[in-house]
Amino acid sequence: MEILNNLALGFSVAFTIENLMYCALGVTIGMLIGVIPGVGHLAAISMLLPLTYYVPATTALVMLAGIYYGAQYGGSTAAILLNLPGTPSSSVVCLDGYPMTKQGRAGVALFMTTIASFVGSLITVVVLAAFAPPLADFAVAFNSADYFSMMLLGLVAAAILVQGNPAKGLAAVVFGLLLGIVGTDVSTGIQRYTFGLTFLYDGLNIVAIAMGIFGVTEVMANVGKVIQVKSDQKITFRSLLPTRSDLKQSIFPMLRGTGIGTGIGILPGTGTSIGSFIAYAVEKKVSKNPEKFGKGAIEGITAPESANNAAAQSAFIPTLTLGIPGDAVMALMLGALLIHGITPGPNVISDNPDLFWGLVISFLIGNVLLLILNIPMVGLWVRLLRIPYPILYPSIILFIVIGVYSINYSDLDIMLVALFGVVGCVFLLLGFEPAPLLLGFILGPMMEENFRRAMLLSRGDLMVFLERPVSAAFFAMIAALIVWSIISAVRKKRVAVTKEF
Amino acid sequence: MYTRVNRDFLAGLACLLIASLVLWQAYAYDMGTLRNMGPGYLPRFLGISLAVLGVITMVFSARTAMAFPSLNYRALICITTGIVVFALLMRPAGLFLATISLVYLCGLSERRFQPVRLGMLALALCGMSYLVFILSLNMPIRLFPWSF
Repeated sequence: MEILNNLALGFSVAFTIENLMYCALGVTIGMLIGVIPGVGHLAAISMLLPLTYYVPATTALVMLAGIYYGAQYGGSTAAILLNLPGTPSSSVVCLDGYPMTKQGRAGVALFMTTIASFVGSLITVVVLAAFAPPLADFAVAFNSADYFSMMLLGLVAAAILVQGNPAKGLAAVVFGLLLGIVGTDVSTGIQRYTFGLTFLYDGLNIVAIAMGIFGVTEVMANVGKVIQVKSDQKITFRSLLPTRSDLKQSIFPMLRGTGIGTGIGILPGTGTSIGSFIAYAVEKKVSKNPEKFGKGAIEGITAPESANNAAAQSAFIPTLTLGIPGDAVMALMLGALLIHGITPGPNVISDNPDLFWGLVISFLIGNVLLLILNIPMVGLWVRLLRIPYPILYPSIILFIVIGVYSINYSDLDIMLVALFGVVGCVFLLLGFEPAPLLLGFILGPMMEENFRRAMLLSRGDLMVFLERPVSAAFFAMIAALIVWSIISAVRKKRVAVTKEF
Repeated sequence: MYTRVNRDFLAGLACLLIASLVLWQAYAYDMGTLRNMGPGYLPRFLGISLAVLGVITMVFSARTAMAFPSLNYRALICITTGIVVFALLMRPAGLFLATISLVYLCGLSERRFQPVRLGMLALALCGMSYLVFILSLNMPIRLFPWSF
């Protein structure tokens, strides 16, 4: 009964006062930034990344993950009430959620999205607990060539799927890989691209990069754009209650949404938005009366909400078992692991069972907390929509700079945040996605090490990547992805896939 | 192929520019062989890849480019200046002065400058960061120019 032992371990870890506190903190912050338009979960996670240095790895991950899935719950609130998506993945919910508000069914929409989110998360947590350990066991047999190919696949997939233009997506990855080179070369001890600056010897600080390109850039892009909203919606408890047919119509959409979201979340480079878009499209296709969609169809809000929450949870599967992050949020999770000296990869679960199982159980706790935060307290969140952005953003910037300063007490780290804020704006201007850059930065050093090791073992024979079956399979997938992206670029049918920001 | 200066053309150009800077520096590092890679191997490989990707982006730019997004340059300048000034003030002048200057510099990115409102916000944030970072997290941060 190994699984019971593992779950017992998980409960004992997740139910310590510290982890419960940080779990509650994480989901509350997530909910908060999900509700408030113009503040994304990436900005919030990078803002709180410095806290990672003060708490154990498990606690840090519990909190950061809480922000992520909490934001998925919160995002639909503004989408339903104001037609303003709080997070990108909830923009689909606007389509049918806002019409429901206009029909006076805002309460039902809020209630049902919360239930859908909860169902999606819960099922996926079970999937995570069931499938992550065997997947990790399988991956333990990988050698350095397999690892390299797998990480390469992760990067190429992220680059190609996140962005409309594959060449620019790959370029963004290369930028990240180059930033990962800065610092002391592990195998020769030579300083690369440090230009004699001592503070670069240990490499660039991941927190400073993330805060700059996600936090600061997001603020700069939103100043003056976020319109002051005036919501006089009053949500009474009675108005929340759905009718029997609302519930009945939602069961299968929720399950289908969960399935789609789980599958999409596992793929690298996709993230939560794509899951909810596909779930919506599928519902419209299978529906007996598709003309209802866009006019307040309950399936149009429950399926995507289940999907994005499922994707937010299943994204942890490749991150924790293989060490390949699917999107920028997962890259930051790996960053938190690296900060604590834990090398991401298949050994994470076997070496740190307390971390994995504690995290799994904390997902359960966090989702129950979110259920409580959402349903009785919905009125409070609605009121939060009125916080003016001019008060919010100087506070965000201040917390970012003090946060990054607190890591090394180095004013140069603050300068680095400013620099990467500007870099993020240049990226925005020229149309590069910042997420592949972060993935490249995190995976780069590990890839170089594995490549070197593979070359040393094979005596410089590149064929080793095609001779190993696992590695060859990864390379076949890389080739297929590239061919597919070229074909679709030629056909010009590609729609720029949603931005995960 | 017909190309002109547009968003993707500039993006490709930026790739080329950075690639050449990377390659220029990479020649200072030993390349080694494939079997025993030196510190210069990866930078060279990445520099060349970036250059190739830059050229591809430029060649197809006429077909792929979209319009430039509107960027709030005022916010970009004000907030960047605010952060840099904060970094410069943090050590010599302490947390409170740095916070006040950051809030005012950020506030300049709004079209309407509201000194009283910003002052209140700055004071509130000073109090909050004192509570969070000094009292509860015990960070050794200088508060006033004259303290420790």
